[in-house]
Amino acid sequence: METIRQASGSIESFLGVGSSTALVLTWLVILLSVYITVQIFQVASGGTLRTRRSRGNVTLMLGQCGAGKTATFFRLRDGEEVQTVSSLQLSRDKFPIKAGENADQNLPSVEVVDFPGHLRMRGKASDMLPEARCIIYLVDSEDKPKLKDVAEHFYELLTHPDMLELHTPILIACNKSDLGSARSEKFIVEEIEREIEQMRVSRGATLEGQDQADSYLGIDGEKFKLMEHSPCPIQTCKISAKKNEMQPLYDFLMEQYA
Amino acid sequence: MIDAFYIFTKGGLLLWSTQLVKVKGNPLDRLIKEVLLEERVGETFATLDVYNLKWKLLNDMDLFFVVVYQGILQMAYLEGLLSMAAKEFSHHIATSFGGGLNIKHVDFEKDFLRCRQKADKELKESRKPGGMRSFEDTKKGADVQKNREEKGLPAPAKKGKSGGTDGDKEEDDEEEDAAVAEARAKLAGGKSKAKKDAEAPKPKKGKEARHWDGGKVSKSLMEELDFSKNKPDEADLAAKQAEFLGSGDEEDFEAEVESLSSGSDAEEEKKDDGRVGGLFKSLTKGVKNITGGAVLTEGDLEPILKKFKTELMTRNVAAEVADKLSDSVRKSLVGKTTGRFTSMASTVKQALKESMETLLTPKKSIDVLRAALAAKNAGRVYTIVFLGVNGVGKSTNLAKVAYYLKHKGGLDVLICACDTFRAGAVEQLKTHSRCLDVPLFERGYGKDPADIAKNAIAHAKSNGHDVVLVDTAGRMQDNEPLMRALAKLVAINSPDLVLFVGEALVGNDAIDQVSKFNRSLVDLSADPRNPRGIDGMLLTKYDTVDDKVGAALSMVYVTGQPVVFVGTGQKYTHLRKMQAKEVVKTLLG
Repeated sequence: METIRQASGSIESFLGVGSSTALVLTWLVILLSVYITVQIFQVASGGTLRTRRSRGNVTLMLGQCGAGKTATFFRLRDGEEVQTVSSLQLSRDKFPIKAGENADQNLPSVEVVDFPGHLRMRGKASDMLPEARCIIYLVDSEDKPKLKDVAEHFYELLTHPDMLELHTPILIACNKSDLGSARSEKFIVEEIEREIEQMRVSRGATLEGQDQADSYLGIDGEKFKLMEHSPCPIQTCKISAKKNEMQPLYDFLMEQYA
Repeated sequence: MIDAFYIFTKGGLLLWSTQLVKVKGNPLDRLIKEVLLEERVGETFATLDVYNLKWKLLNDMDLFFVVVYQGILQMAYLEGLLSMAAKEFSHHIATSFGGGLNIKHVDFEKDFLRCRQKADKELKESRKPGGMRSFEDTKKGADVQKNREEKGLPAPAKKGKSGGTDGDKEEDDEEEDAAVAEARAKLAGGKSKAKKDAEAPKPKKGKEARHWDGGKVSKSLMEELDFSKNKPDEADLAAKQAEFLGSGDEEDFEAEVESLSSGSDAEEEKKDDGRVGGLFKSLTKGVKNITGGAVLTEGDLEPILKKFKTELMTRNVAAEVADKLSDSVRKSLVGKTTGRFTSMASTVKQALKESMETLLTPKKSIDVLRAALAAKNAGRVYTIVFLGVNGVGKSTNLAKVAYYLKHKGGLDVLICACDTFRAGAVEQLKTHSRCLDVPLFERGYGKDPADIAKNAIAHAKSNGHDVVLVDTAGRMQDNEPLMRALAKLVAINSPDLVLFVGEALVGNDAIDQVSKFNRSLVDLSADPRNPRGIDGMLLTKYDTVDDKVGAALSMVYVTGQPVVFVGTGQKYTHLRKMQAKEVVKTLLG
């Protein structure tokens, strides 16, 4: 208080105004400086703070119906093989993941969400994007016609504002690799790229009132490359939930939660 | 009897299943995708291909119980079986059921067998009050039972399953025997009854007793003819009365009338009685309504859903659809616990919102431009047929789609005038074609539209057009000959997309229109094994309805097909894609 009074006194003499006006002025200056400090502090720390807050801590499992999301979910959780039907509801659980024999290869506790893949449901998955730390996108390597839908979903995901902001890493896990007719990762990625390329034309031609997918994916006039032109890091791998060949998936999770 | 039985969670885990007979195809998967995901849970019964499916939903555990069968079975039997199985099952897993994720496979063979036997028994008893010997009472039954016990009963997994089917086979045999015996008994019963009827002394009438008019009337004759005094004796009368008057007394009747008239009051009172300790209970309920954690019952949901239902109906959702939707929501909510600090009304609203959003989200790609481009790359001509009732705006919106494909997709569009009926229809399209600078294919009036469309597609192919838009004459859904012609057009040309054009203004008629159009197409389609219905809808005059956007919901619910475009004005650019979220928000106010 003493310093304030002194400051106001000096302002009074310096500007030649009344004592009450000087006091008000002093207070104003103090408040202003406090406000500016707070602002500066926020701007300085804001960038890192915000992203950390908004990207969540959940592993989100997406993919088409029948790609093996629920099976993989329970493989991760209990290491057991289960029988599944099409999900009507998301399953969500927090559990430790055993990636290997050693303790340092295990993750203490990871929250995993298995989101239904039916087209009617999958739109709601985008609401979960802010919560996601990483996305495991399961693809049925055997089902080529479904890749059209996969590509469409990717287009929606990759142009979603949350993805553009958060750069959530995606692992494309080509499931059912144990089957004889399974396609290779390369084939699947190329197929998705080709479909997205076609979609760019139609999506680019937005109808009035069309939301989200307004933004253009990739670089105009260039062939679309999933790995290079995506707003987020994308990896691919080959797994089999049925045969319990899931090592790449564990590696990915270890990397993400390290 | 039944073919298969499944128990699965909403999360997608098949907890237990049995196939008593090999099931062809995958009716369960179809059930989930075509019925449960379409918000038709309210019905609890569906027919898919040759199979009938009936299901039960246990909300507190998110479990589905599904029984698959063929032919006709008594609903009461199925319901009994389902609820018995549900009870047994929840009993079975009560201790270890942690949020539904801890149980992956349940050994339920034994309990299910018991349920089935019990249900079968009940069925038999209900069929024949005389009382058949139950399965266990028969000698063979006892043998089977003993045998089974010696085998140590069907064990889990595959081995158990095969054992189970063996047992079932035996049981089936037994059942068959029983059925035969029953049928025989019935037959025999019938016969003896008939015999009895024959033997029973008939009142003597007819020839022997004929008396001609004008003859002398004897006293005995007079008595015989005097029906006024005659005889249905007291016992008979009482029986008849009992039959027709219910429990007889007039006082009762009055009481009944009274209770009917004051039905609602009585019900309310009853409810109050039901809440033991009235005030306290209702108080806790009130508190829980605010703080959450209340268990929802039918009684709680009814008034809330009714409110939402009327709200939906005032926004032009067809009454039938609103009914079914609220049924579905109720079925999926009864027994659930409300979340923390959410009232019942908001829980219901949330559920309704979610189910409507799911419903309105297309289950297939509705990107017409992409499909057309893909067809172009494959060297095909992409064909769209527009159909609908009169005056909904088929031609106008066809022009809008033409504009969209031409200007946004850079495609070469050909318009085909197949409205050879209404005066001025071709001229209208001519005007559009001039404005849009799009060629028109027309053959004047009075020709067969199916032929014209065919020629147009051939023309497009030879002249390098990418897309053909076929305009058809508007027709009322009940006009059979016209619907037949339409089905022919679709069957002959097999277009890539059949768009139903409907007004957003319609209310209850929406269902009738769209379902009848769809059915005519399916019924009259060329390939009955793979019928072709409507692929999507175009909703016109969408800008005129304000918040009454219910037609969209009705049409989507009835057909299960998405709304591909909505027309929102007079200009060529006034074509939009529907936003499910916006529609839901508007509908729920």
